[in-house]
Amino acid sequence: MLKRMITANRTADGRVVYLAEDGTWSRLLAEGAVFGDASDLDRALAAAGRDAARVCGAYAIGVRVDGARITVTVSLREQIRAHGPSVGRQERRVVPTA
Amino acid sequence: MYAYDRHDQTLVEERVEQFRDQVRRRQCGELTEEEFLPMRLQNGLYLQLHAYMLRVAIPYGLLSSRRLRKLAQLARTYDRGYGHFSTRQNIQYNWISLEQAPDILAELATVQMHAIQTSGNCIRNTTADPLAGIASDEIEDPRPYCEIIRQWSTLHPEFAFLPRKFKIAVTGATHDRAAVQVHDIGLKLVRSVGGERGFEVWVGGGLGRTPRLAQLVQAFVRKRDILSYLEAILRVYNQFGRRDNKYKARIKILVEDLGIGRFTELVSNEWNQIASSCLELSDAEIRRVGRFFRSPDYESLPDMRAWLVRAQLTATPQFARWLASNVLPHKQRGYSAVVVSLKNHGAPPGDCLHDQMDALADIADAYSFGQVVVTQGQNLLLPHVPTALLEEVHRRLGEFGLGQAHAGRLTDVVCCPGLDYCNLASTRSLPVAEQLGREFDNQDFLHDLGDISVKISGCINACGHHHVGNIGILGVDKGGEEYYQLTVGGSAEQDASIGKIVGPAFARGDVVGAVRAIVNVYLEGRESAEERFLDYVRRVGISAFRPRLYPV
Repeated sequence: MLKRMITANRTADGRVVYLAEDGTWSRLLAEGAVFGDASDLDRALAAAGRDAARVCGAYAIGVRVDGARITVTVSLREQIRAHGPSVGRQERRVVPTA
Repeated sequence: MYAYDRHDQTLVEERVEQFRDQVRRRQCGELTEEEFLPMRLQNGLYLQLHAYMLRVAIPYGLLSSRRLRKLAQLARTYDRGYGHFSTRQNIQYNWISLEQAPDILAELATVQMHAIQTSGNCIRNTTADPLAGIASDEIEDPRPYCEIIRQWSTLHPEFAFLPRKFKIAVTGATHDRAAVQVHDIGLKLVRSVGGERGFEVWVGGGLGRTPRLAQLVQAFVRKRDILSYLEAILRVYNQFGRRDNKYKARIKILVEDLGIGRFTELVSNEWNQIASSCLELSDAEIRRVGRFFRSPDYESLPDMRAWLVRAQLTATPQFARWLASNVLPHKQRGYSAVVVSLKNHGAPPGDCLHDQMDALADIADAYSFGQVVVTQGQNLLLPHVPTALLEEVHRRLGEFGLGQAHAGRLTDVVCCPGLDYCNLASTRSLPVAEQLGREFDNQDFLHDLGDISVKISGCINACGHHHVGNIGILGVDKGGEEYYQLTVGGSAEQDASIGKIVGPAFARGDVVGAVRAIVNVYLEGRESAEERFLDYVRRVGISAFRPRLYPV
């Protein structure tokens, strides 16, 4: 079923992070806190907005939850944020052309 | 190549320390992101999808081997081992941490480079013809004027907060390789009837959501007056340009709203007040800056043009094709310019690995007087290679994956980072470029097609310049699905034109097939192999493609 999660970019290095249950920010989508209740989400979002030294641009995203596990985010943009660029993800190394 | 004086060096070093303090204040929470945003942008630091991105200015695209090695070291030390060369002759690092950004700027300052004004609503890096100084159709080398403009525009107090970003391109040649008609200001060095050299001034070009070709505002501005004339244009724009709507804030909208006649009148009125001021360039100053761009000490070499023609028929196919597509004429007898392709399968167009940069710096030292140029096509260029040594250079480039023979061909794709990296993009562009590379991998077919520019943008902001691609591809989001709108007939050269939309957009899985269909229509319909794709489109119009693209 469709739930919500809070994501942001970490101030220190810009990396994508997700708000976890304990109030820390995790690099892993699977460790993000899932919100089913709108008022809980609003409160957490407001707190995230005040956490400017650690993160910037916090916002809510839709996630799909299969049983107890979070599987994929809904939008393509969020899938790319969660999993990285779809091109050039392999190890970059020189491949001779001649 | 221009060398900083103590004023330049002091300015850049002080700017690094200023930014270091701003970063410290941001990290400890003294500055909010909202407060910090304009500060980091003024130093070229964006926050993209996955990390901070640092855009480093490469003035008019010119690099020494020493600077290229520094860029390689930065990629190795602070990024993931590569950098991305952009359509505006800059380099971007995609995986930067905020804490290290001041250190990177400090390292850049040691080789007289910086990231100032590579973002924000200011005058950006001035770009130039990548063949500046070596093209046989050149009236005068534009780079001294680019450098003069760089110095004038750097931290210009009046133009730090323009209505919108502002881009200037300069060419000194008759063939426009600097895309001057799609810049906010395009300058062309021309000769007057009396033989004096000066500038044709074009204003109001640009791409984005409102593509416009620039209009001529002044057919001849004397060289000594170019700064005062630019200042007059910027003042008019600064005063009358819209600030209420960012989508209508570029100078192209102002020029269109006022009409070119009224706009020119306002500029002339302003110019009359400042033409005879400290902005007037003396001949001595032009000569002083010009000395930094003197030709290297060429050897007296034999004319190799006949050999070049013969080699394209007799050499191994790979080398022959490379000669045909990647080797360009040079004004100096016995020398050639070499386009080094940065279009590799599996990597975004324009990406260059740190060891490739180091290798290229070595090759530049050995064969090209230590110089490398970044092109608007997201490639690099070795500007002064002895023609007799081309085979050796090709072999060495090949060892580092830099020997692809497709400059100007369909797979030499220009492409924005798209949704894979960019915060503004609505669709991905890089996978389309990659699929095109695989689809058109047959070298004989590719070279039979001749020159076709393909340009891809992941959103309407058009950073991939799709409007001026012979074939343009624009990604559009339709209800969460990626679709791609195709245009044909665009050009950014002296015959500049905005491409026309062929019809409804294609789904992601169909777009490469649609490009294949366009190519097939051209191959079947061209009068001969000499009729370029662009000429064919202009002859037959876009309707010729529709039956094949949209069968009933």
